[in-house]
Amino acid sequence: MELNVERVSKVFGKRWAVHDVSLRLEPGMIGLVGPNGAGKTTLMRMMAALIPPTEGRLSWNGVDLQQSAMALRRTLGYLPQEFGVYPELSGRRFLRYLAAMKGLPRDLANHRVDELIELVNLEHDADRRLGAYSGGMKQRIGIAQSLLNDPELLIVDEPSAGLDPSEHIRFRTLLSSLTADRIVILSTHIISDVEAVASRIVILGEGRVVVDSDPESLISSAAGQVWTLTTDAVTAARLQSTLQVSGLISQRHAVTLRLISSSRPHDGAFPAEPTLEDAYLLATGGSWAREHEPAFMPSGQ
Amino acid sequence: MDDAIENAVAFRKTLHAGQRPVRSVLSWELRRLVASRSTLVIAACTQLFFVLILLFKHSWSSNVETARGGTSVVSETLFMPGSSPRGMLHEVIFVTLLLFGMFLPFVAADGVARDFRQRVHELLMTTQIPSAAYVLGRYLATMLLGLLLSLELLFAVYGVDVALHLSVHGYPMPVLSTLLYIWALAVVPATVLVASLSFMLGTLWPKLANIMKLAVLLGWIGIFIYGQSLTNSAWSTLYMHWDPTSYPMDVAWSIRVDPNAPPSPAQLFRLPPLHAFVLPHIGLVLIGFSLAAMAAFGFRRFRDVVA
Repeated sequence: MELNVERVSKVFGKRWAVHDVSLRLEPGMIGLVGPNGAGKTTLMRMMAALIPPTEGRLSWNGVDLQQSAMALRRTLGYLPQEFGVYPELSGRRFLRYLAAMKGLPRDLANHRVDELIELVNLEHDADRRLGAYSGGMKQRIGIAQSLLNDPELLIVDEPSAGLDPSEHIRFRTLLSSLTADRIVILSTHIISDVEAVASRIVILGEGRVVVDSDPESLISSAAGQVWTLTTDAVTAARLQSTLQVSGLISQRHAVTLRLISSSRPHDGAFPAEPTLEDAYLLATGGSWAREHEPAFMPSGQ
Repeated sequence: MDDAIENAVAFRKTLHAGQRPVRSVLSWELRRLVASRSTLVIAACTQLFFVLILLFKHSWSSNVETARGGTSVVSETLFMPGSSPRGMLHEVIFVTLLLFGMFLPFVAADGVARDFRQRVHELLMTTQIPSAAYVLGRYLATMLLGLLLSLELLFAVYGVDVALHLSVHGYPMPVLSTLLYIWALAVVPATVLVASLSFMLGTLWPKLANIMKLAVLLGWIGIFIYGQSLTNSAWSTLYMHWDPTSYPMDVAWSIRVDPNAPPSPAQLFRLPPLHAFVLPHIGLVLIGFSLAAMAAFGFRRFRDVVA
């Protein structure tokens, strides 16, 4: 099985959401990451045959999706970033509904739905109306529906949104177990998820592929460019304004920074082992850190 | 691991074996409608509305024209009970169908558009259900809902007329077969046409579904007003038989009597000849089905609508 993305672009109005992206995806877990607006969701919608590309071609096992997407849909599991449910149906009935739309015969669908309800830990709430579900419970229903047809291609966009920590870990383990005979595309802002489960990482930036590598190689590419420094608040603030900061611990009289720099940024800085987050920051120019870390301001400023 | 892969392959082979996708979409949509409280509220409110409006207007005065010297003059005013054949025609067309046609687009345009509004469409559009089966299944469910609501109109007319017959002296017992004939001739074609048009517009332009509902409502009112302005021309004669509001069916037959042979009240209140409307109204039903086919084959699944 193979999903081929060949020089694909997508324009909305005058904005290129995705620009000249080429990927050849084979069984395994692919972590698709990038800052907000990088084009991840648009690219995944094109891969799921929901929207057509403006330029380029996508094919599933050699079949162009614009010619026929049915072969892809038969084997596709898709969890959108945002999705709705029918609030009047129970979780179990909603899954049975989607199982019918996916072509599962009734007996098989009922059995499969029960299995998945157990898998996403919703046994006690499966017969409640979806309108009464919390965001995390709806997300688990979304995860379950994406697995109904035992997909060969599983595309999940921000699947951890709304999950509590234990459910998050449970889902991450589940995803890991699914990669043997299928292509799993995981889009997330949580770099540690990608580090834990992905065999390949694709970083998008402004609609283009910035990095397409395996996590280990990406981490090694950051070697010698990550530093830790414990310093006073004023120096920390100065360094923050000029360098990429991947971590910050504020103590009573000092601040410990984790800095990204090709050369030693301060006499007191020590080299550190890079992580995937550091490597990601290097690749994207720090946009993830700007989105996720509150700016540190020393007291009195 | 090999066993797991073999199981997965066997599982995938069972998918879509001998499925009937239209029936599947229809049956699940009906289950969803039945589970929805809003469906029950709409059904109850519709029934109550028709009953109340018929209780308010269950009989009226009708002018009787007498031909004298080539012109018609109003010779007397006649009390017309709603349960008489002619009274039922007026009740069905003027009192209830006019309002039903204004309300129907708000039910029918959402057959597919609701999925876009509720953001369920991405889940559905990535399944293997064929687009035409999805649209046709939803259309059939919408049509069943529309016909169910039109049956409420029928029940309301019959129920109110029976209740009045039992409680008001001189109010005749309604004849069910006559009422069914009027319902089948006037209400069913209008329901199919308006529901199909609304469904088609809402399906092909789901983001504009609310505007489409208003457009159909205004169109319905416009046709009704136009029907009132008809004159004695060849076009008017042709048009009146195709008018989906059936308004010309109700008003084009003024009560005219020959002063030399005054008819009995029973003759006055009998149903005017309506056979000329039958074929055009079957034509309206066929137009409705054609609109549904246009929706099914014009529905573009692979497009920028989700963006």
